[in-house]
Amino acid sequence: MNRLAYRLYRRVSALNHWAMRRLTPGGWIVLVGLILTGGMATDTEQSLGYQAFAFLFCLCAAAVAVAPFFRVTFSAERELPRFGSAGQVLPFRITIRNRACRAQSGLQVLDNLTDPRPDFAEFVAAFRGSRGGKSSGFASAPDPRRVRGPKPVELPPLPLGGSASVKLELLPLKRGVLRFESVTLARPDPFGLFRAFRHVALPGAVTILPRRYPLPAITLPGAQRYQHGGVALAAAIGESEEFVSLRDYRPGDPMRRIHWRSWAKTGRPVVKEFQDEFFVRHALILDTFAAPEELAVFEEAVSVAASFACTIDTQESLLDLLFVGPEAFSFTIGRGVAHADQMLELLASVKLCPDKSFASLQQIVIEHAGAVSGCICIFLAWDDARRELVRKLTVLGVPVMVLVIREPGAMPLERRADDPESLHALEAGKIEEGLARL
Amino acid sequence: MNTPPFLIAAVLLFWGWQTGPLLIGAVAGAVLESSRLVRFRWSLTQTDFNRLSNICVVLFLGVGTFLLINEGTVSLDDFFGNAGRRPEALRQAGRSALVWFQWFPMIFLPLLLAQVFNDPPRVGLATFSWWLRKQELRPPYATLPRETVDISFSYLALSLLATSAAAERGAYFYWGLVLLVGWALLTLRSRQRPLVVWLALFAALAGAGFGGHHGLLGLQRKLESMNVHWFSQMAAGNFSDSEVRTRLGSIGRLKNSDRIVLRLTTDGGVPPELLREMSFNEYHYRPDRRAPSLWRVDRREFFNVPGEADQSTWLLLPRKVSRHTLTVAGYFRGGEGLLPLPLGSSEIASLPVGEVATNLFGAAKMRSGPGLAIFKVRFDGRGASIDSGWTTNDLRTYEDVEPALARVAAELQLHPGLPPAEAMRRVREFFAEKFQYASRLTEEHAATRGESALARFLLHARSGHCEYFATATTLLLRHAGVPTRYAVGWSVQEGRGKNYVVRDRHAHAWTLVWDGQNWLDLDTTPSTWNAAEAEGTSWLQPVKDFFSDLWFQFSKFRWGQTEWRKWFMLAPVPLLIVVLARFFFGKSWRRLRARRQEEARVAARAGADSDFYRIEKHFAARGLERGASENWSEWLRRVETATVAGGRLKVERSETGSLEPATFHSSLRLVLTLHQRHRFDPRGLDEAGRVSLREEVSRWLAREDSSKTF
Repeated sequence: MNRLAYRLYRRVSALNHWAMRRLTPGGWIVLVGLILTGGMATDTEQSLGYQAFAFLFCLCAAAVAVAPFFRVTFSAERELPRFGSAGQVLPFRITIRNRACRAQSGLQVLDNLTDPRPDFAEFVAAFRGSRGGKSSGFASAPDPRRVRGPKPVELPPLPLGGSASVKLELLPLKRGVLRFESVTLARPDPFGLFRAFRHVALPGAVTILPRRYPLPAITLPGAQRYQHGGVALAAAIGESEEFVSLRDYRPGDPMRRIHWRSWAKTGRPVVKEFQDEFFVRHALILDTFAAPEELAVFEEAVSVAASFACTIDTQESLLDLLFVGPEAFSFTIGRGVAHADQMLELLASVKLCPDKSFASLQQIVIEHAGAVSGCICIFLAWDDARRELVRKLTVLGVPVMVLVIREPGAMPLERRADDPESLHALEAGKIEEGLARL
Repeated sequence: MNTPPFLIAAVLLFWGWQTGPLLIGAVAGAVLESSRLVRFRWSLTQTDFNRLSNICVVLFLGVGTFLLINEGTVSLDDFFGNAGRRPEALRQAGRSALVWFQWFPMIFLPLLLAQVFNDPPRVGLATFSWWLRKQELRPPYATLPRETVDISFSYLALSLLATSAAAERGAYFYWGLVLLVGWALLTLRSRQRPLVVWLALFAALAGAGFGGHHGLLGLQRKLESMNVHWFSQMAAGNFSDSEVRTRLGSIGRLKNSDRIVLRLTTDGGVPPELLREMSFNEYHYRPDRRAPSLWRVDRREFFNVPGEADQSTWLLLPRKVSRHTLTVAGYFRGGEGLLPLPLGSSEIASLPVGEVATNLFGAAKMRSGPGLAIFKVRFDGRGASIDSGWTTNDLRTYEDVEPALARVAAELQLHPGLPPAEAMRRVREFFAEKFQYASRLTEEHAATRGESALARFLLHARSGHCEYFATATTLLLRHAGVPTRYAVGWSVQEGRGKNYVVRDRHAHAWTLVWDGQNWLDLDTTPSTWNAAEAEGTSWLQPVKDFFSDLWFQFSKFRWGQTEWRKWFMLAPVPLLIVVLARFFFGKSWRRLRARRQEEARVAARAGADSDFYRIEKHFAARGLERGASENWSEWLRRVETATVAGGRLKVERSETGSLEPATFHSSLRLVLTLHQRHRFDPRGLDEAGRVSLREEVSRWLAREDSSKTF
């Protein structure tokens, strides 16, 4: 049944895609009119619909008939930004150069993405997810689109051998990599109903970062910690503990710490003294363990993680992102190691991990616990396994802030006496409100 | 509005002109165009548009339901019937549907008005889709910019579509349509080519469309001629009361549908073989294949039958005593038509109609009745009927136009003075022995220059359908001086027990013969005609019959005399009231409901996280659950008793030393007091109280756990 629904979805969406690109708004109206008057035309004695049908049929036939005569040679260039954000309009430019032997006018530009439709597993998961809630049926079916637009844009007249540039806009609806395939030049027929096409291949890609929410001023838990290896992490090469002072050589001091110039000046061996680095380092733990049906909740969790990654001041601190994908990941930003953009890029491609257990995340977190000042846990549920992880972190003396993302309309979180004070439930769809209350 | 100035007004004027309400169209157009001059604007939200759309949908469905109930009769199986039947079915259903179509511009006018007087003048796409409305409430989409459209061009198209549903065949419609569509397309045209070229191309297309629609008309006529509808103007109650066109000389396959036209219930006896609707006495010969010969009556008058006091019983022959009763159920378009009655009917009962009238040719016509009539007929095939006695016109032989009949009459030795019974026997035997039934009419049946269609039938083809046999019999018997009439109606042949059905294909023609005292039915069509007609029966017939029965049951309810029907017609009214009320008061209701829900949520939540429940769980795990009707104090007393009786008292004392059992449970009572304050006190428990409650519970449980280890 699901397979049938998916096939139906693919066929209908393909037809819709074709019609949306080929037909102008006027063309849609004429086509619908043609179908309806066609129904009336089955009986010429009952109404005058057959007269309208005959006329609209001639219009449509003429509009389609001239399409094969559209000939134009052109090249295209697309200027894409490196990143976009889900839910924010992404503008970009396309420049068309006329390679034909005559000037062109009245053309439109369309940009073509690779097939953005979900595969069967994603489709089924999305539908199951929609039925998991209170409502079910067609009205609550999810929107499978990844992007809205770009709409056809009128191209300024193209002189012979000249070029023209247009600004297109699309609205990414989901995070991930958006791939472009080709650019199409279209020419509507003389009545402005049906578009004739010419394509040119022009691959491209843009990473769509997760949606971010504004965070209030949050005092993150934890104090400064000694970082093993100092700022070796933070600097590009070697050790780079903080220089404190010079002092006389004591037996046992390493030779490499001898300050030769001072020895030359004073005539006795002098060594450089360093201080170990202490700074704040937070771990951002992202839970990826949920059933495919809970995709919407997971997306919200990624958005919350992205919000933290953007907001935490990494000038003076480090932020580790810990999650489990195909394997366990630990990614650190801050103090020159890497930038938040890179973490967002990573978050743009995080996927659910339904085939592994929560224990795999627990292991990597406990390994990191010694180095971090505090943990921000973004969980998709609040069960015994997650409680156990938080308990262990508490036992290890790591302060924890726990954010549990829940489905819309879910029952209030069942709290126990031993649950941490900083446990907060955030409802999908009302994340911004929930974060504001932190 | 993104339409050119005055285009919408012109379209609405055109609509009003073609469909009737010219003034309404003019006013609506003027109001819409005034938005270009008037600066007044609303600030409607998406919710307002959604409500307005709901109102339009209710109006849309309400008008549709109203028209369905009040316009002609519609049979579901007609929609799924064979192609040949479809135009006729559409004629019934289409009347309602097309009137409905015509009112679309007014039904959806509120939406366009809301758009043109709104700032900005656009409508959210979600207005037209429940799915999009749901999507816009979902997490990612709630924050996205809303997709909007301008519906003025769509409205314009809808108005033109509604105009084309007009049935009046005017010469101006097509050119008006072309002009208005051209006006609209002019604004959408590609600027690539000069205007002159565009105009020339458009004119060529308009010409092609003109030719095309004439071609469509011709095509339909051609298709109709390929499938000759036998008695095409016939349906229950729909025979003409003045004339009947025959299909003598037509070529093609006779094709009538399997639609159930009448449902009969007998009193247990055998049903009448024939149900007559009308009879005729004048034959009008016409050699044209497309307009074949007619049968007419020489007197068209109908005479009202005085109704009984209950206005549902009609005495046709007050003095006649009939032995049989037949219940007939059939659809009557517009509540009027000829009643199918067996010969010798004397009384009609249970027929609550405004008027019943009869004529000299045995027809009974009802007026101002329901769309579905179910009535009882008292009849007796023997004896008098409501037909008048014979006149000279019942003896005219039409030798001038049908000379072949004289030849056949001579062959059969039919001469004046022959006893009617003998004449009838000869004619019956003649047709039974030498003729066959045929539903496919070929060139052999067509009239030639020298011979009429009837002559071809009698002398060459020797096969045909019932109209040939009935016409020939009627006219042949007149050569023997026997007064005859041509009768049309239905043949009863399908059914069992008391229940019978008559289908569209059971339409039939036969002869009425005057035996000297009364009129008798004489049917000379070979009896194989039933089987021949049933041959083309669709394998879907049982399914169609099932739906037909469903429709019949619904129609019984719909046309019944109970109060239910009135209530059914009023059904959309509360819905409209609800939608209107939501439109005007929805916002405040929603706010009130949200507040109540919040209050309920707070009330339900208060104290739900109390630590005292841990103690309850503790005892429940030991088999001391709290009963559904037990309050906390009662339950604690029971727990106390059970604990002491279970020997735990001793253990507790030895473990805790100074702690007495009474004191121990007193501490629980303290916890209970705190819990109840937390649970029920409107001011709740302050933070210190919560901490105290938590600590007391933890301490108590710790003691319990340590005591358990001993």
